[in-house]
Amino acid sequence: MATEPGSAVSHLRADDTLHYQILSQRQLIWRKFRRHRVAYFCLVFLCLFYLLAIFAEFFAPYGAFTRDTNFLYAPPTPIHFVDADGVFHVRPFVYKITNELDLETFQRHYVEDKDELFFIEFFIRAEPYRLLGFIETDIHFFGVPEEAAFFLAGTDGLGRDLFSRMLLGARTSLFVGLLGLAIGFVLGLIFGGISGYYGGSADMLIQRMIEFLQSLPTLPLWMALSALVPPDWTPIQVYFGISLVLASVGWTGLARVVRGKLISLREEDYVLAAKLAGLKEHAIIMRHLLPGFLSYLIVHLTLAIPHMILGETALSFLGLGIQPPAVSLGTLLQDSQNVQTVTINPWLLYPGAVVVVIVIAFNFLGDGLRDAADPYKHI
Amino acid sequence: MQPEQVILQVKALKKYYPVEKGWLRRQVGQVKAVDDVSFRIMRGEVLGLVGESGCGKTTLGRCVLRAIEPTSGEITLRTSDGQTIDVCALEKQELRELRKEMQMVFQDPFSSLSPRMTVLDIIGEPLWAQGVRGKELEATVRELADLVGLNSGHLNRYPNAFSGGQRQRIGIARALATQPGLIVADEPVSALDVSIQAQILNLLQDLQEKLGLTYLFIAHDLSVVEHIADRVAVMYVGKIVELAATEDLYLRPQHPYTEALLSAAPKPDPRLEEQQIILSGEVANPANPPSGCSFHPRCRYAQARCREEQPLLEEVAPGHFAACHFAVELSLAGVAV
Repeated sequence: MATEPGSAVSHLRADDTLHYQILSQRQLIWRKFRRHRVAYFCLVFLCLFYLLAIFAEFFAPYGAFTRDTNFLYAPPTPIHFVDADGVFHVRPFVYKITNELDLETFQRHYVEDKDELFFIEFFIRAEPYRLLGFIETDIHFFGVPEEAAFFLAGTDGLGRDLFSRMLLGARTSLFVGLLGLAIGFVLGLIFGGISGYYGGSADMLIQRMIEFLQSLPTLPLWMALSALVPPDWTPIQVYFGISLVLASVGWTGLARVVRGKLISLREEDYVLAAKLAGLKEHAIIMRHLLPGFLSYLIVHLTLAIPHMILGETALSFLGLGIQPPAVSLGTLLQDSQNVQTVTINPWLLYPGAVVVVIVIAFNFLGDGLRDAADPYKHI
Repeated sequence: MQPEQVILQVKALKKYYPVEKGWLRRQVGQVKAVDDVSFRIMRGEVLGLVGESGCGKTTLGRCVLRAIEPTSGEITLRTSDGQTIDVCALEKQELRELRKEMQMVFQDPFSSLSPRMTVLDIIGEPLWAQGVRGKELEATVRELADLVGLNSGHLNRYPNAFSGGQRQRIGIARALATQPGLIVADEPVSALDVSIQAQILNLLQDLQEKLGLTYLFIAHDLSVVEHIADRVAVMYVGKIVELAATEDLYLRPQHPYTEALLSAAPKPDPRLEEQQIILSGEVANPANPPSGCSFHPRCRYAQARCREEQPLLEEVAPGHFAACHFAVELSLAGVAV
């Protein structure tokens, strides 16, 4: 089936007669996209993940800065269904954890006290927080009673729950990506649009500028630009600044795509026909040029988000991006910058796994969208 | 002929494309796509414009509509309400308003229709640009569809549901939407099957008679032009080399190039094949045309004068113009119409 709009899709109805349906381009792309199982799954996954990130405080059992000094570098708490007596419980539970100091090695060991078990409770009342920044509540999606401790992904060196911090950090990282993208999108559209639509010297200048930007090694450039972010900025300002840094380098690819599409569409006879029909320039752009490459833009944007996320993570990891105490996946990974982590506290690497999963999901999603939007590919 | 019958007057029209080189875009030369072309078309007339690929026919047609900006020259159009307008002097806004007076039928029925719009939107686009909306637009489009022989029940389909001939009908309906006086038909049948060509040609002819249209009909095929044109202009490397009434041109060509073109047209009798004039060499490069007459390197009648002096388009017989130094002396072979 081609994704040209208006392709008649035939299907048999209950009365066994052939019916034809005329579909718009959007419907065709959606139909085709849904057939790409992996991409569709990734879309659902990412939607859920963004929901998780938006309502991070609700889904996190603890706050980002809640410390429990009894549990420094505690490993992920094991979840059980079967207790010490061999009885099966439908509800998962955890044992009370106590820590013991090994007097030979001076290392802390966390052991389960099998006498006391605590069921994991859902919609439990715990630490108060503001949902979405303004709804005051203290209901968490899950948790254990105060006497027990439950660290799904272990704790860091200060005794903070890594799982909660990962959710909150993912929010920063995911939205830095989107914000950076939005800025880069505008820059790319404007520069690519001028370059492709008007051509001539403007095109020449912009293309040389893009080549220059693309030839610079990305990391040093990011580092140089982040150095421009004043140290006395608040975390939110820094957050915005980092998005700007990522966007200022990231728009070049998009500008090229826009330019290329505009140049090829501008030469189409139907665009000339629209001009001869007496359409104004902006009407030609809105009716003919933009729909011609909108699908490509969406694909490009999807594939660009992971770059932004990786960029933020890399910068924060190097200590140049978002600074602690603000939480992002990159700052969380800063804690894992040593051998001790790999050998003794491997759970501190979990934020890295989250980055990998998000990036892969975005790549598959972009892949599926590209296949669906490509009108020259037939199944 | 009375002067008020002239619908389009083109004077000394030129379109030069600069050839740029290097980083600083130094201009190292120019391609003379259309070089000093003058002609006029009467209201209700069909002027055929023929020539090989790359001779500047399409560029000329597009310059006339100011789809591309001519380098210099003068184009005067007489509108339906009797005004004469200098098309080249118009500002963008004025030009947009004039668009309804002159339209174009494209060569390629595939690339000239947006794949993302329904036929209703495509045909109605010139009306939409004029501010016509809704029911009124739809009713007009329905009439237009009937006029060009399209099923008006299929207007909500997209162009890919139609065959080449039907697509060309859509293109013609779009060109007719604003009731223009002048239509530039840029090889409207050359992309179609032979059997469909005749249908579309007949349609164009019927419409011309019914609506009193004027065509500038571009083609590279003399047999197509013969069918529809009142007068024919022959172009070679950016210039008109011969211009005459169709029958006159076919029977008594006055330019060696026209003679060669006519002899190249396929004939049903294989014995006539021997009379075909095979032109030697390549078409002259419009970026670097030969001295004197552009056709002299390929002309079998060429003499020393042709190398040095550029011939002008002159009236060699009443209503018959040719750009050849020896137009009068030579007696060239024509073909029966």
